[in-house]
This record gives sequence, C-alpha cells and structure tokens, in this order.
Amino acid sequence: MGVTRAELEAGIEEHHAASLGWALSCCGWDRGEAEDVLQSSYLKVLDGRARFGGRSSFRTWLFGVIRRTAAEHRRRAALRWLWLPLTGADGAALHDPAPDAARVLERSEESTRLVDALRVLPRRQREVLHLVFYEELTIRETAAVLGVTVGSARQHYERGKRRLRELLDPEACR
Amino acid sequence: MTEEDRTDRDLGARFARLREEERAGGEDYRRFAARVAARARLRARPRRRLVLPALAAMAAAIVLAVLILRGGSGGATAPAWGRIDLSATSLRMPTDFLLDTPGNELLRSVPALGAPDGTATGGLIHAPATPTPEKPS
Repeated sequence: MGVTRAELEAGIEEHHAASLGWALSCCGWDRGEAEDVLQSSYLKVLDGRARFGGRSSFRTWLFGVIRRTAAEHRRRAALRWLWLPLTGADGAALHDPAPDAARVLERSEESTRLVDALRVLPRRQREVLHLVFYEELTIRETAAVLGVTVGSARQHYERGKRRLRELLDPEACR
Repeated sequence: MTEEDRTDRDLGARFARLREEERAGGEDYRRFAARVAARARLRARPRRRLVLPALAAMAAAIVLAVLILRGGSGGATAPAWGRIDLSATSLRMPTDFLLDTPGNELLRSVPALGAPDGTATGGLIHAPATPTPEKPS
C-alpha cells in the first residue's frame, strides 16, 4: 500500500526546518540555491518521481532525496558554467556564490566561523558531521542517507571531527 | 571526561547554536511553499517569452536543412559548386612530351572497321567489319 499525498505533505511539513538545514549544508550554505534544491526535492516527492518505500524512516529517505537533488543542481550549474562563454550570458546572474548579507549578519560570529570551517572540509566529512551534530542522526542513519557503509560513515566522522577541531581551535591542537 | 567527549560536547554546542539561529531566521513550510511557488512563476515568465522565437528559429533550421538535403540529392536546384564534370577535365604535366613516341598517333588512333581503304587509319590494313567465311580453294 502506498503513502498518500496528504501523508507525504504532512511528513514534509514536519521535517521542513531540518530539511532546510540539510539543503543549506548540501549547497555550501547558499540560501537561494538551498531553497531551489528544497523546492525541487518536495516536487519530486509530491509528484511521485521519488517514492518512499518504507525501508528507512521518512526523514532519512527525504534527506537522501535532498542530497541527490543538490548533486543534480551542482551538475547542472557546472554545465551552465561551461556554456557561458558560448552564450555570452552573465555568469553572476545565473549563480551568485556570495552569501546573503542579511543572513550573514543574523549569524553569530561563532556560527560564521563554524560555517567557514565546514566549507573547508571534504564534502563527505562535512555531510557526516552535519547529519550527526546538526540533525542529530545516528551513524547508522547517516550512512543510510549518504548511501555508504556504517564503517565508512564512522571513518568520515572521526576524520572530519579531528579536522574541524583543528580548524576551530588550532591552539588547543598543538 | 575524555578529550574526545569534550570535542563531541563542544561541536554539539556549536552546531546546536547554528541550528537555532538558522531556524529562528527560517520560515514555516506554508510560507516557504507559497514564496517558492511565486518565485517559480516569476522565473517561468521569461522562458515563455522565449518560446515563440525559439520555435521560429527551429522551423527555419528545418526548412534550411530540407533545402540543402534536396539540393545534394541531384535535383534541379542543385548548386553549381556541388557538381564537377570529370569528362571535361584533363591534366597535362610538363614532362608529358617524353611519352610522345614516334608513331604515337598511329597507336592511339581508333581503327575504322569496314573502311574501304586504310588511309583513314594511317595505312593500316583492317579486317572488314563483318567477318566473311573463307572460300574453299
């Protein structure tokens, strides 16, 4: 028996705040791009292009959809960037990687430092740390979202944690 | 408390603060959905404006392709640059005179079969056009 549209909408609504945080992480904290990704992900879920099979929790599955959609957006952005010299279009109009000034002001200095440090980490490590610390998922759930083994997720977690600590507190690590 | 526990606790607190700040500045699902829908409509407008010119350009490209293909298949509208009459071409090299041997014109001439005398063929004796059966002597 499938999940009804009303149930899907209720699930999306329930996890919306967490989903936006995860989309932000997947998009390098670019809010505009994260909202685009989230919009595409919700549409995929609601029009049936992404089907919930019930093999994991709804949140784990939804995060997987958001992650794949963000990867698609990145690929499309890369293709657009390749086309720019041929079309003569303005690259800045298509993608502005600069953070939204209002959003930067809203974040505390400590959070801004954390976001900057996360941007330096390899993607996989950043994703694991975000899912474990920000979304409070277990390593097993994190592995399910990323489609990797639990051992691999644990390894990324340990390495990422060590690297993040070095970036945030270099004095303490000496 | 081990060093690792302290790191976990510190990172947990940092991420929790970031989460609180992001959620405080965020909006609920209903408002997000409405805003995203409005933005999607705005983005779709320029695309709609481009549909007609794009269709016209596509139609022109198809017509051009059909014209070129029909021309290439040897129709009446074939362009002059598309055909070369090979029988009208000849190649003369500067050293061709070395191949001109004495009596060359005799070798190159075509015998006129059945001619009454051999003068037309440079004095060669030719067989008649139709072979005649040998008369018994």
